[in-house]
Amino acid sequence: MIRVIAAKEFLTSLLTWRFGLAVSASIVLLSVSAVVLRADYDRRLDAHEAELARIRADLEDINFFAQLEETVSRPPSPLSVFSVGLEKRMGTILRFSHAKVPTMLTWKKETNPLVAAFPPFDLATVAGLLFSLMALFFAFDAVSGEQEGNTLKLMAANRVARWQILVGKWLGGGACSLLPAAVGLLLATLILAGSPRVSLSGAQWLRVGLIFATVLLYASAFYLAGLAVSSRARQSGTALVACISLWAGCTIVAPTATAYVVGELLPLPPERELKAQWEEINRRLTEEFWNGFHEMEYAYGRQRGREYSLFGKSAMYGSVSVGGFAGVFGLFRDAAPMVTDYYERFEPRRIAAGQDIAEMEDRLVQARTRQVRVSGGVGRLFVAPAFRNAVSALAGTDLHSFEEFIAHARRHRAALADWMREQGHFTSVRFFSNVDQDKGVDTSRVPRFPDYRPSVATFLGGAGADLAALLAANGLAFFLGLRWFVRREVG
Amino acid sequence: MVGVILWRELFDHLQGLRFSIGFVLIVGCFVASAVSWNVRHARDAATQQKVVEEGERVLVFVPRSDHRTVSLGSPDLRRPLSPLGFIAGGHDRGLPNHASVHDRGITLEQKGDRNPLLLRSDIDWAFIIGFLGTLLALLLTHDSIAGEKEGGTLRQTLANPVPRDLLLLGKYAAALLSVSIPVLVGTVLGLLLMGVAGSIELAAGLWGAVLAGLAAGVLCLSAGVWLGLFISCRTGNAALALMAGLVVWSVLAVFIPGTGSLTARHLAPAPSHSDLKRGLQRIGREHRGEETAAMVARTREDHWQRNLRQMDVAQAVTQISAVTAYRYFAEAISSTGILHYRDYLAQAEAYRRHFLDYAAGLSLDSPSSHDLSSPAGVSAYQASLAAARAAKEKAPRFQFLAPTLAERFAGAADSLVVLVVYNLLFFLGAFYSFRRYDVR
Repeated sequence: MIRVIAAKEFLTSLLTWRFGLAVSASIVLLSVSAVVLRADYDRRLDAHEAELARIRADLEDINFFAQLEETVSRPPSPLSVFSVGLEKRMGTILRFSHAKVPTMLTWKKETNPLVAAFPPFDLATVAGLLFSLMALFFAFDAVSGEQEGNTLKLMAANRVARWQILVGKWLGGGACSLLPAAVGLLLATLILAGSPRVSLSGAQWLRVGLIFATVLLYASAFYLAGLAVSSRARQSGTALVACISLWAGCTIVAPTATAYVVGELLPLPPERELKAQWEEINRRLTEEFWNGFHEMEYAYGRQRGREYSLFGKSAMYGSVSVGGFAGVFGLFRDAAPMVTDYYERFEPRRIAAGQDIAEMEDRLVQARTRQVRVSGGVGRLFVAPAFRNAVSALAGTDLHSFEEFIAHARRHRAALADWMREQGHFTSVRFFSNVDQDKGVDTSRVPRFPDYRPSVATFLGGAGADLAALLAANGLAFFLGLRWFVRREVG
Repeated sequence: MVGVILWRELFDHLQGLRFSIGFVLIVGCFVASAVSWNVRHARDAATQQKVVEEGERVLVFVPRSDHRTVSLGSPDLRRPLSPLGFIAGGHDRGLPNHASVHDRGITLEQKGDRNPLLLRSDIDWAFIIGFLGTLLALLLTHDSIAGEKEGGTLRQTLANPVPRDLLLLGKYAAALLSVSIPVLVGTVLGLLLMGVAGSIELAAGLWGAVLAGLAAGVLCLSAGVWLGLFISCRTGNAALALMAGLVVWSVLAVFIPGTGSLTARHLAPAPSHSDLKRGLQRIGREHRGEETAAMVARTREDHWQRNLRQMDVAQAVTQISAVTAYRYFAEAISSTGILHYRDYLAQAEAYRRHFLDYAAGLSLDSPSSHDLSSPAGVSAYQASLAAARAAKEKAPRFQFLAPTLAERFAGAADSLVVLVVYNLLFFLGAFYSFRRYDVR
């Protein structure tokens, strides 16, 4: 019986103006969005490639190991077309060295700072508004409209349980409301995949499939909500108004208000304090460095029977964040054992100070990410933010993906420091001077930053809570719809 | 006759569920907006005080022993919060809010514990009227014609000697009044809340800006009403009219601002910071002498102009939407957003030049250069300190000059034209469609 009702619902909905309008709007809006977003992706890819070229050129300029600061450019995700997430807010560049722990991506200065005056845009934005609206328009009169037309009474007069009617309507009407979404998304995906600069791997296609499934789950939640409202309302006009209010509340008002309230209520640590702490760590380290350095300088002078200050400031690096030597060491080759001994003692201190700074920066990062997490968590109650978060997680542009990337870079940094220690670079002249070398450091032997290729399970893990929220919304809406429909007077 | 139609329609609207939901939502948002403005204003006042103190501290004379002169430390120039920011925040939170001036130019920074990861939109008048008000307008008007046709009442109404034009005008006036009521109530409540909290300090001229913001809001709502009526006149089914109306609304409120801004970035690419750095390094390598400074200044200026140009193109493209046009109008009137930013940059640059001229005109000894072991050295030291203090007192301070009302209107003119054009287009569409509407 459910199949008969579903087939009837499907065909009835298919032959309506709603379906035509939904398909047209979905095709036009998603195709145009896909074309624009593809061009935007190409632009970001160009910037990434230019950055890679710069990084390669910078690597060739390295003269000694203390200068070895790795810069990693996170490539834009081709799936960011579906959801740009934090990709344009989190940054793309990560810099680290053996003594500098990566904590956050940077890029603010690379782009036009005024771009922030425009809201981000992606397919999830269009889909989130459009498909929920369509689902509600397909559902708002599914029950109340049938009662107004007296067909509900006839249907209920048959030997069919109420739940079967509701499930049949959900399957038939829901399938019809999902069809325009599927067509639009498919077309958008084809436009994206048709780009010569986009080649999706098998795992990425699987994630696209999961994004499709998320869209269907989202639209289904709104269809069931519309069905519940229709089961509750006496008139379809009332149901329509309630549905549109629900839509505006879930997709426009609640996401805006949630981010706003969370931003106001959860404070960030004062930037001024963090800056003061950073300066204090650097000051202590610099002082320690110079004290030790001058001691060494005098010892060298005493050894040679005269005072030397030719190492000078230009020869050294005292700041945690700045590394660099001039080639003056060439004048004092016999000081090599003394200097290497000095760096052997000092470098672990510099690495420890780098850890202190990372811990301090982590506090700021954690406070920022806490706001994003709480905002996302509260937003889950309103379905639309859960949908956006889930798509963002599957596209690899959510907070979890960025955190995983930074953790990956931290593991590499630790491996790099270990490698330098094992190779004895901290205790060699090559650590602080390029004297007696025809060219700089042979970077081909330096451990490369390993490709970051998380599994589909990692992305799915990031989307887990939001997908669960969407499933729960489906369940709740179905439960309410069934409860109200069973109690409904159809006479 | 128009009066009769108007009252009937108005009472119908006021007694409906749509109006009740819209009223609660819109008035609630106005109240929330006022409360958040009160909090923001108080925080801003405290920050401003700190910045002034910090500025005074930084503006101290620093002895530079190597040059035997005294130099001024230049303070940060904070972009002030517009007193009308509650009308349109202008995405103020996302934009840099500090400029540090130095001899090479201006460096923009974002300070003040902002979280770049949290996407926050302002709940301001532009959002409430542009988004929620126009939605309510569509909800109230989608069935004005098509719904009456479905119910058979349109035929009965037109059986009376009522010209169609008057009927349409009556429906329009009633819908506009209905949708304006929550906006006006919310505005008054919001202003009262801000007034009681003391977070609204408007000069006499700025009340004109508030009224203009409200009037443009009503014009935006009017465009929404005419759109609803137009679509309602094109169909015989109220639900279809609402669905079509909401699709058009989504295009105007979300799709055009989103795709338009991305397209504009493609049309007018802006150089990155790395491009600027490379350009400056090239100048440093290839040029020497006095022309270098001029070329560096020119390169920096060009970099900024191209950034600003990108924003101009993005605004021009996205302004084809009535919702965005209203936002830009409100931003121009409130002196927020890109226009305000441009103004701030121009004033910061003028201040920088003034400050540098002043610093260059100083020829003071460094107090530390005097030998304090002799009486002559002590008196020279004291004279040097006194001269330094006097110079500090006279040093120029940055004071942002808000644009006048006329300047604000000049910046808002094109947005106003867009709003008027939308009203005219939808009015003509509704008018001609209704004249030919088959009421059977």
